[in-house]
Amino acid sequence: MLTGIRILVVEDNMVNQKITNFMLKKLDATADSAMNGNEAIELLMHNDYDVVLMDLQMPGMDGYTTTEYIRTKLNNNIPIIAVTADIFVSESAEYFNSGMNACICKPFEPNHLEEIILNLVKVETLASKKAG
Amino acid sequence: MSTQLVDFSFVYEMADDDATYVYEVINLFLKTLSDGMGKLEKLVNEGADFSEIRFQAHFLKSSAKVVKVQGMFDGFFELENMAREERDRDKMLPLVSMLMNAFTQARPELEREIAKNKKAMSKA
Repeated sequence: MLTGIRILVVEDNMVNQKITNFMLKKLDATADSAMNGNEAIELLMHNDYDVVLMDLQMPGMDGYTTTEYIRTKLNNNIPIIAVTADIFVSESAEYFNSGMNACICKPFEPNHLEEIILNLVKVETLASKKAG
Repeated sequence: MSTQLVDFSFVYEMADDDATYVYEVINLFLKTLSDGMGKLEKLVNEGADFSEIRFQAHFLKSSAKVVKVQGMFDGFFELENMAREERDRDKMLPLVSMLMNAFTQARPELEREIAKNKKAMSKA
């Protein structure tokens, strides 16, 4: 379960957004949604999240550009999970080089998503404790 | 839960008998594909940039993985690859026509499933 974990879902396809949000609700997470990179940045500037689910292909700012902005302009190290329909992306380091932390292929299973998020949030919590 | 033309199993597997969720997902799929297919057809007809066609095919492809209308995912995948590799522009329109036909034929099943879940919502 993802109780207490706050997630930002960045996804322009409403079908995928609905499914992801339903899945996260079942996992007891709290989720906000953004339709594109600009909305995501606006939400990140005004809210605290534990992890971002980032669709790679979006109109305007795509997932890579949005991630680079989050890392360099917002100076935010929040864990970001690339969400893609393309298997060859998940097998490459492209998402990692842009600053994302993990990748998942859609449509994904709830337990797979849960595992990735818990691993990332645990790593981030440990890192914060070491720094603090 | 598979019918002749549409496989709804992914949607129902996660639903836990939540008729509202199923209703909303299939409704969104119908709207997304209706609007999206129109846009795709226009892009291909007008000879738009390959990047625009690729983008739209990719966008629709991910929905077709959720509500699996027979032949649509493969069709979007092929169209996306054609556009990515910037080839076979002359084959795109027949492919889009095939996709439109598949969607049109599946529409009654989609609408029946929507109606079924809407009825279940009102009973809940």
